[in-house]
Amino acid sequence: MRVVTVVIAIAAGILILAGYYFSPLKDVQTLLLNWALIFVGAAALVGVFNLLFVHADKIRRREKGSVYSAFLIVFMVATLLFGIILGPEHATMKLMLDAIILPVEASLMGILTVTLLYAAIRLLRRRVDVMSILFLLTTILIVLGSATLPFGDMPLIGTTLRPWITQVLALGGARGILIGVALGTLTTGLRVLFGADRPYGGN
Amino acid sequence: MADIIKCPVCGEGNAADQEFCQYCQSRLQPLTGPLKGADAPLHPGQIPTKKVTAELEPILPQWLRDARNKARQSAEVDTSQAMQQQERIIPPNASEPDLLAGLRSQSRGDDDEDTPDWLANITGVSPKQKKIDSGSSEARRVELGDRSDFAGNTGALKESIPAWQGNTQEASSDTEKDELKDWFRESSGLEGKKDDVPASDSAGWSDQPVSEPGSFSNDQFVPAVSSSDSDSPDWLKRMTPEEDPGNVPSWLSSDMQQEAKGESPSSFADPASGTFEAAPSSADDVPNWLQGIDPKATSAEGVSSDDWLKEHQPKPVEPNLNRHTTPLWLKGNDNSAANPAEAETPIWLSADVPSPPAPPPSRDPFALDDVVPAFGDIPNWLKAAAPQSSIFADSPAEEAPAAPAEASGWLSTFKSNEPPPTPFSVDKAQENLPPTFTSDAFKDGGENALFTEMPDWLSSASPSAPVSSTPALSDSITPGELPSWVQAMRPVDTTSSARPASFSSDQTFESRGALSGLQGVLPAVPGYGPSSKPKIYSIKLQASQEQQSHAALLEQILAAEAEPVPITSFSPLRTSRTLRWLISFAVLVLIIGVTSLQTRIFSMPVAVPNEFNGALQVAQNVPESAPVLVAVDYHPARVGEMEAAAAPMFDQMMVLRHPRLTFISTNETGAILAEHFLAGPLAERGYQYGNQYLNLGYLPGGVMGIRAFTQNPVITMPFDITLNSAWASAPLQGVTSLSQFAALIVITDNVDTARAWIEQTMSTRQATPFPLVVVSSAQAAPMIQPYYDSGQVTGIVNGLYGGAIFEQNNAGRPGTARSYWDAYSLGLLLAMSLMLGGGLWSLALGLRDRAAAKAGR
Repeated sequence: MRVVTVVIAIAAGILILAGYYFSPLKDVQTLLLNWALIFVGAAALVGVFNLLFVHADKIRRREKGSVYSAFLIVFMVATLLFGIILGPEHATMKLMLDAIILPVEASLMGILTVTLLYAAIRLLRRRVDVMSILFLLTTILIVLGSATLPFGDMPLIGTTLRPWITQVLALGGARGILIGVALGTLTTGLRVLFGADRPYGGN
Repeated sequence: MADIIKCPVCGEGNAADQEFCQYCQSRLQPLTGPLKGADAPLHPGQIPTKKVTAELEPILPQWLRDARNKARQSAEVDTSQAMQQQERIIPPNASEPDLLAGLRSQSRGDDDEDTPDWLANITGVSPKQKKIDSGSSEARRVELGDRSDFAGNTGALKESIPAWQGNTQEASSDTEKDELKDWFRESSGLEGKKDDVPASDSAGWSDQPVSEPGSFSNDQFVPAVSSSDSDSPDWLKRMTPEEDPGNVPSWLSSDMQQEAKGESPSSFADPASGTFEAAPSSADDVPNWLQGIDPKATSAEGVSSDDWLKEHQPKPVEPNLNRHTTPLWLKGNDNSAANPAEAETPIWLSADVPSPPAPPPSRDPFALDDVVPAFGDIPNWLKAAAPQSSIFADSPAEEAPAAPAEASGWLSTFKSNEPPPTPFSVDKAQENLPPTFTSDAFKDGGENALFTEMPDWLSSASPSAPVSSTPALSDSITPGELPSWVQAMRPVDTTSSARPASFSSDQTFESRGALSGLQGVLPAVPGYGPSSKPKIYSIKLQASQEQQSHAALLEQILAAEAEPVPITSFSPLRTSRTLRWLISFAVLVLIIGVTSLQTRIFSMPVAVPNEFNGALQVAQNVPESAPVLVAVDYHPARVGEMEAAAAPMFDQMMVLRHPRLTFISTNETGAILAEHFLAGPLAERGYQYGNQYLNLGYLPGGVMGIRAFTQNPVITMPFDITLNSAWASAPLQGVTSLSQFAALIVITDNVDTARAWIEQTMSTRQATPFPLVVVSSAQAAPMIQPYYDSGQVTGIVNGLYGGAIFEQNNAGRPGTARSYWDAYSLGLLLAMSLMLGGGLWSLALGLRDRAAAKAGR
């Protein structure tokens, strides 16, 4: 059975890859991709139900924090029902988004701001080395260059230093990362096609 | 030369294939096969069978026979040296007296007979001339010792040898002197007559040329006195047949005559006579010690336990001594009536083995029965001196009554260079003499011990040292010539055939079971088991308090070894709640205050990045009412930044070009965020769903979904969020593929999503170019910048900063960026100040802590 799984995965990958280079295989590629979309959509639905069952079991066993699981299940079911019934464009749904989803996530993002500031302040207290100091100075420059003064951009920092840091230093690093990511993606794909990696086999 | 076997008894030569001697009928062939019959080993309970001692000669151990052979060979050489060594005393090794030398050197005499001279003398057989061994391997001799064993050892042996024996060594300076002869000499006082061996004494009864001096044969006794030996007692020498047959003591000759007649010698037949009867003509032949043996006189002198022979100290020779008494040590299996008056018969004299017929007793020169009590027990030296036990048991012939100083012939059997005096002339017809030796003549070792054990007086070992006697029934054992003291040190063979003394009184033999045949086995019957319940012992560990404390201490030590050693590092930096609260307070107060106040202090940015121009171009150059695909792939948490960044562009595009917007999202919340985006900052533009914009909803599959949508969007996303056919609606009218969109705008805060849209739509955009604008957050902008530099992206709107710039180009519409800008700038300044000031403060504190830690170490 494991061999069959490997054969199906490799065959599908080769067909989709070949669809990029061979026109007759584009239809096959499209077909396979459509099937994959269906599976992914179903997997998302399975994930939702799995989350529901996990929290329900937590409530059943009366574990610590099961109250929050109850809230989660209630609102999840309600949202699901409202969405299915009313539609996402309905005002109720918009209200739920505006009143619950957005503020909650925004608040979490705000807490992240305070935490980052606190970490930056105590960075040199924990480790004092060149990289820590350089990192802190870079952050200060970027932050300072991004802001403006009442009279305009921050001179020199905002007009020269910050653009240079972002356009040269950061950009160079970003390119390197992207190239590495691309190469890694290519290698991983080939390994899957050759059967060296089996992320789908469970082993 | 044909193989000739010399009879060890008579010395006659026999054919090699003969089993018994044709002259004396002694066994010639050794018993090499399995013992059977009479030769079988004794089993417990069996009565030992009588054996002819003469037949036991072959069973002598090979080493003993070899020694005897060597002794005989060197006897001739030693004879010539005897005279030279008379005056020279060669002290032996004081520490290790070679007591075996006597045995070895005894065979050096002229006579190479196996039969001891004294035995030959007793039996009346004339000692044969010593013949040079031609090298025949068939000749078997008995080692009799060396004369030097007894001579010259005046130093060390003095201590070990009893007094009665030690005196015998002082007189003679001749190393070859027989120790016994010295003893005899001392006791009899007849010194100086050592070398005088009257030939007449030996005449008549020493005509056995082959007989070993001092050895016995079945028919004659060959005294172990050489003609040239000066150590031989005179009386013994006179008994030598070659020298002076006429000097045979009358008593001995008469005995021999009687023996020839088949009668027991009168000297032995009449033990009651007590003394030996000395011939008038040969009164001097009787040893003084024998002459002095008078049962009447003995009691007057008293007898000591160790000096039993001193009782026979030279006494005035009384020609009329009653010498017809058979000495006890000469008695044995004497068939003649023993003197009932004899109180005690020595063990070595009392033997069951029939002894050879006694010579015609003419007299009883050895009237020792009066001194029988004095014997008590035969001294070991006397026992062991005789190679055959029955010599003392029932030997009819006795020493000639020569001078006591001249040791008796049988004692001189260990002197090989002495012509065997033959006081007796035993008729050869007396071949059927009863065996001379008995099996139980000796207490220890049996008859086989005669040939394997050293005489105690020759051994320096303690008399109590037992010597295991192994039956030498085969010639294969050649242990080598070990000194007697070494042999005496051998461990007692506890596994010998002789049954050891049983410690159990129960002599019952087990008849069944695994223990059958064993003695003293506890019977498995009731009553022999333990009568009481066995004591129960606790299996718990019995440890004292001190032991437990030690164990606990050891356990602690072992536990400490397993504990990890904490790594010395900086003290953990505790979380400062105050600082976090302060930061939170400061930020909240500032942002909320500035935002609520709607200040306009800080100016808008004026520096326009390059990537912004592309986005501005797209927004301004989109065709009128052209379908524009908008990918809303950001999370609700970044709604403020993203809407602030995208709103000015969409506002400008919507105002100027009125595009038909189609929203799609690879995020589950993208669809509703799209709605929020249109209903928020873009609400003023009044876009209607289904007319101006369409929401396709969630595109699953991530990269695969984008790829699938790129290839065939109609099939991939046929419906919108209202589950209506999307591609038939107004916003998507005339659009069937991705290339038919006028622009693609990706609003995302994730680099991977941006990359996916850029990479998956590249092939379509290359075939049919259409602009791609990315509205990203400040976080993802650096990672998307390379795509702009490579030309894959037309323009990038970078966070609030880009939105602010775009807003400046849009106449300040919608104004979201402007409202956020003061708070944004103050917040950045606050963050910068906090980071700078707090960092410096933390740096100072950190340096201080490290300095303190270094100083502490």
